[in-house]
Amino acid sequence: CSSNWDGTADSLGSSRRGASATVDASPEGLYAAGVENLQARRFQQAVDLFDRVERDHPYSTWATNAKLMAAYGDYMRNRYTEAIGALDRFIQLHPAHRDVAYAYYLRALSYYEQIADAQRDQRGTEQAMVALQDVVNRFPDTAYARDARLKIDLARDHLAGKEMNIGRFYQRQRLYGAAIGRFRRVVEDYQTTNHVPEALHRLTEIYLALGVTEEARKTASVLGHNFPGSPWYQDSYALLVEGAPGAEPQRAGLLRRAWNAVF
Amino acid sequence: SDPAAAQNRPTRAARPAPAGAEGVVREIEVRGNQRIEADTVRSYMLLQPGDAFDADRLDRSLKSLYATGLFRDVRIARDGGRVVVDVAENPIVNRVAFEGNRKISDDVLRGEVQLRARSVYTPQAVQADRQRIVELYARRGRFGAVVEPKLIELEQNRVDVVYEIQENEAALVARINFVGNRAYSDSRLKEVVATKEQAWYRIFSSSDQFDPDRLSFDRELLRRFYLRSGYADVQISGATAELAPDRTGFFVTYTLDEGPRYRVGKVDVVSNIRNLDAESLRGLVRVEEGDWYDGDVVERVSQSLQDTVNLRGFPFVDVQPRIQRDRESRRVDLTFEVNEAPRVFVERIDITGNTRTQDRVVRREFRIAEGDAFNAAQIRRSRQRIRDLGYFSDVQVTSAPGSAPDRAVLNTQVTERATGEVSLGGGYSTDAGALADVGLRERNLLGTGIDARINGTLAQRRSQVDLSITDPAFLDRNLAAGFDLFYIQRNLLAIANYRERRAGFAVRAGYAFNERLRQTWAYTLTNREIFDVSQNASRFVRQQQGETLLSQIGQTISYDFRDSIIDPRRGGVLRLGTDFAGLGGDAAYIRARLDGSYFIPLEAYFGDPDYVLSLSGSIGYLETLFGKEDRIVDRFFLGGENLRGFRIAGAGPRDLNTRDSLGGRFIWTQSTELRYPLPLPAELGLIGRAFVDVGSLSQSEKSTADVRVADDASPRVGAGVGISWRSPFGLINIDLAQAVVKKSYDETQVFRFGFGTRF
Amino acid sequence: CSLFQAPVVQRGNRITPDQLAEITPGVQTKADVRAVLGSPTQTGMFGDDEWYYISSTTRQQPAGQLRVSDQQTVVVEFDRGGAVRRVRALDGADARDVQMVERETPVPGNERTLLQALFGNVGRFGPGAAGTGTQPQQTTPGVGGIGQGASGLAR
Repeated sequence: CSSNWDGTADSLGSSRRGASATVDASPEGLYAAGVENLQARRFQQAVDLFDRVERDHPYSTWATNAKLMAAYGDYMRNRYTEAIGALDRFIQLHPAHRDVAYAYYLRALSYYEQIADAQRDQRGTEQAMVALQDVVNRFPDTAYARDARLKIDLARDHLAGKEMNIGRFYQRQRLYGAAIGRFRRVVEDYQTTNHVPEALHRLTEIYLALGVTEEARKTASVLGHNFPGSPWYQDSYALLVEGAPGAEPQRAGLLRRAWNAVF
Repeated sequence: SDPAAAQNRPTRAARPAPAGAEGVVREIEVRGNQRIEADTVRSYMLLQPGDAFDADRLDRSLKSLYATGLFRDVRIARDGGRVVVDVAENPIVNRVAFEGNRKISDDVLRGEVQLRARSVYTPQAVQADRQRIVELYARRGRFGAVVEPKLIELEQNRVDVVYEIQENEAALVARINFVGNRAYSDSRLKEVVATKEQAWYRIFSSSDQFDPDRLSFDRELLRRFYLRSGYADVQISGATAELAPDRTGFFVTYTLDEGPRYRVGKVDVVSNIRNLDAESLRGLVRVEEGDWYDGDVVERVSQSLQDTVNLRGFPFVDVQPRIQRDRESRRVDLTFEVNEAPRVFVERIDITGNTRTQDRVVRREFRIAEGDAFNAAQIRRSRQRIRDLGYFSDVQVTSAPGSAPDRAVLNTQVTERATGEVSLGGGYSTDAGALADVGLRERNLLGTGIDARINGTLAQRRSQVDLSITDPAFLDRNLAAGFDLFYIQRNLLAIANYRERRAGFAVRAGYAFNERLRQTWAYTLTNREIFDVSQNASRFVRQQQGETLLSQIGQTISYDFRDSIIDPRRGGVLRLGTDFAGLGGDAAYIRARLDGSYFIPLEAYFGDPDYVLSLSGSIGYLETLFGKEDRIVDRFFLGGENLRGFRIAGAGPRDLNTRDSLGGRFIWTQSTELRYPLPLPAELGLIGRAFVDVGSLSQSEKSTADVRVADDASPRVGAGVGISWRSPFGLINIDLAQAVVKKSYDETQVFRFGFGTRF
Repeated sequence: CSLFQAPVVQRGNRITPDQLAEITPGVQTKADVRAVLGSPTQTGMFGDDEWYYISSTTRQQPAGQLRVSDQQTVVVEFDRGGAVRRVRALDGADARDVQMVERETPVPGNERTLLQALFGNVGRFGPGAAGTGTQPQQTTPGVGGIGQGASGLAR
C-alpha cells in the first residue's frame, strides 16, 4: 500500500494511524497526504487529514482549501448531510474564494444524490432543484452550470414521474376527476419533460371514458401536433379512429387476460 | 495583488463620477483580518472601487459586515480616495465543554447547543445556548439550575467555550390542597390532577416534580372532570404555588367554584338540511331527560351525529350543540342543530415524509379522492386507516386553502417507523423453552406494503422455519393475497410423550365487504407426522403414530369495530372461523371457532384514557366427518396462551396412566383483563395488566378397559397480573398467573415470558 | 342484507337536476355558474370556455376494484363574452369503455436493491442513508476542477 513502511510493525497495521504518524505536521505535508489519500480513494483518512489541517493551522491558506477538500471527501463517502454542512460553512466564510463556484456545485450534487425514486417523498428533489438553480444563477457560464442545467431537467423529470404515477393510480381506479387534475399538472408545469406525450394520451383516454369526445379530439390533436412520431400519438389516434392499430399489440398477454377474467 | 482578487472584482461599468465632488473610491484597504481574506470583506461592502463616496452606503456596509457575525468590531474610515476597513475578527470555537452536569449527559447537552467546534464564536450565540441549557433543565423539573459560560482564550484567535452548570435539587411538590370543593374530597381531586404529591414510589416518575406549565394543564383536567359530573358553571379560579418555609418543596393550591349541579332538561335534534329529517338522528342522542349533565357526552354525541350525517352522504354539515341553562330549576336544555356548512372540495392530496413507503400504499387508504367533497368524517377515518397500517410513528392530515375559495388541499405528513423485526439471538419462551431465534420480518417490504416474514427458530422444544408473504392490496384491488411455506418440528415429550413434525404450504386470499366486515379464505396442505413416541406414551398417542396428510379449506369472517387496531380502547371485534378438511388427505372434519373481544374505556372513572377493560371470549367445536377418527393433532388444547396460569395444553382431558394431554373437541374460554398505566414515565412504554382467565375443554378419547381417561368439562380458572413492555427490543410480555380452580391432574405454570426484537 | 354491503360513496361534484335547471343558456355568466354550481372540477385545457363538473358514485367490491356507477359529467360551454352558450349532462351512456395502455414512460433514478430496503433503515434513518443508488450518469467534473486548483498549489 502507498503509505511508506518504516520498518515498524504497527505502521503496516493500520495505514490511517501510520499515515498521520509518519507525515510531517506542516500544513503542506498534511494537505499533500490528504490529496494522496483522496486519489487512493481512502476518503475517511483524507477527511481526517484535512480536518487536522484546519484545526492545527486555521490561518494558513491551506485551511480554506482543506475545508473544501474535506467536504469533497464526505461527498464521496455518501455522507451527504455532513458534506452539505461543511460546504455551507465554507461558503459563509469565503464567499469570494476562487473555488466558491465548485463549493456551490458540490453542495447541489449532495442534494441531488439524495433524490429518492418517483414513488417516494420528493422533498429531496425540490431541495436539489433549488441548489442546482443557485449554481446556474451565480455562475452561468461555467462547466458546473452546464451540468447543473442537465440535472435540473432530470430532477424535474422525477417530479413529473411522481405526478404521472398518482394520475395512473386514480385512472386505474376510474376516479377520472382526480386523474385529469394530475395529468393536467404534468402538461402545464412540466412541459420540458418527456412525460408530456403520455400525459396527453391519458387525458384523451379519460375524456373518451367520460364521453366528452370533442375535448378528447382536441387533446389528441395537440399531442399529434407537438409529438408526431411519439407512440403515444399512435395510441390516441387508434382510440379516435376506428381500426387504426395502437403502438403495441392491443391483445393483452394471455396471463393478463386470464387474470382479469378471474378477478 | 494576486490575480484572483482581480478576477472576481465585479465588472461594474465605471460610472462617470463627478470629478473631485466627494471624490471617487479608488481602493478599499482591509486591515486587521487574520483568517478571513480581504476579498471576502470587500464582497460584503456595498461600496466598490469606482463608486462615488456615499455616507449612507458606507453605513449600510458597516451593518452588513456586522450581520455576517464574523467580526467582533468593524471601523470604516476614509483616507482621501481610499476606504480603510479595520476589522477585529470573532474567534473560532476550538472546543465546547460542559462541567458539573450529572443528571444530563454531555452529548444530550451538545445536541441542544448550536455552537459547534470550528464554528464562529459570537457573544449572542453563547447567550442563546445558555438559555437553551436552562430550558432543558427546566423541562426536566430542575428550575434551580444555574449555567455560567466561561471563555478560555487560545492563540491564533481561537477560544474554548466551557459551560459551568450547578444542578441544585429538583423542586418537588410537598402538598396539594383544594379550596372551594364541596362535592368532591381533596383525595378524589388529587387523582384527577396530573401533578402528584411527593412519595417514595414516585422515585422514577417526574409527576411529583413542580412544573408551572403542568398547573395550567391541571386546571383544564379539573374543569373537564367537573363538566363531566354535571357542574356546568364550574370556575377554576386559580392554581398557585408557594415555596415551603424550609425551601425543600412547593405547596400547590387550586381554588375553584363548583356552582350548582345541573340535570339534563329537554333534548332535541334540529336539522336545517333539505331531505335530512331530524327524527332519524334522534336514536343517536344517548342523553335522556333527567340524567346528570355531562360535558363529554354532549361533545361525543355531536361528534357521532356529525360522522353519521357525513357518512350518509351529506358532506357539508356542521353540528352545533346549543345549551340553555335554567339556574333556578337547575336544568340544562340541549338542542343539537345540524346546519348547512360551506361547500368545499378537495383539490389535491399531497403526501410527504414517506421516505420508504410508496405514495400509492398511503394513497389507497384514503376514503376520498381529489375532486371529492371535503368530508371531515371520511378524512378522520382515512387518517385512522393510515395509522392502522403500522408503518408510521405519526400521521397528521391538515387542510390548507386551495386555488379557489371553495377548494382545499389536504397535506398528509407521515413519519416513517422501523417496520422490520429481527428476532435474533437467544431468548426464553415458556412454550418453546430456551430458543435461538433468527427471524426477519419486514412489514413494509420495499415500501410496497407487502408483509414478508422469513423465520427460523431453533428451540429446546420447537424448531421452525416458515416463509410468509402477504400483499394487503393485490394489484391495487380490494384483495389481500398471500402464501405461507412452513416446516415445524415440536418436541412434546415432556407434555405428551411424542414428537410432532408438520410441513406444508397455505394459500390465502382476503377481501373487505365494507369498513368493518372482512373475510379471508385459506387453503392449507400439511403433512403431519407423529414420531419418537416413547414407550410409556398413552395408547391413543401410540395409535396415532405415523404420517397423516391434512388438506383443509377454511374461512374467517371478522366484524371489527375497534377504534384502533394497534392500541384499541373502544369498540370490539368478532371473528367466526370455519375449517373444512376432507378434500383428499387423511383427516376429515369440520371445525368452527367463534371468538370476540370488547374494549370498555374507563376514562370516565379514572380520568386517564390509559385505563381500558377488555372482555374477550371464544368457543370452538370440531366434528369428524365420513366416519373418520379425529386425531390428537387436530384437536383444541387449553392452557398457556389461552388460559394463563396453566402450562401449554396443561388443562383438559388427560390419559391418567401416562399423564399425556389428549386435547378435546369442544372448547370455550373467557378472559377479563384490566389494562392500567404504571406510575413510570410514559416514554418507557410499560402497561400493567390484571386478568382472570376461565376455560373448559372436553369431548376427547373415551376411557377403555385398561386406560382411564379424565375428561371433565368443568371450567378451570387462572388469575394473575402481567406487564407488557414496548421495549426497544420489541414487545415483551411477562405474566404471573395462579391456577385458582383446577383439577388434580392439570399442570399449572405460574411464570410466562416471551419476546422478539424490532429494528 | 346491508351488513355485507359497502356504502355507496359520492365522488366529485354532483349536480342535481334542479341545480341544472337554474342554468339557462345565454343568461348566466361565469360568476353566476360558479355561485350556483361551485367551481368546476376541471376546465377545458385550452382556454377557459368549457367547464366540466365530473361526479360518480363508487362502491367497494370484494376482491375487485371500485365499482363505479352513475357517472355524470356536466359540460357548461361559454361563448367569447363569458355567457353560457350550452349546457349538457353526459352520463354512462355516452362513455366508452377505454382499455388503459399498459406502457409507462420510465423515470430515471435509483431503485433501491432488496437488501438495501431490508437493512436500509437499521440504525441511522434518513433520506441520506437510503439514497445511495447510482445516478444514471455519475459525472463529477468537480474532481477535475479541484485537481487543477489544489494540485497547482500542492506541487
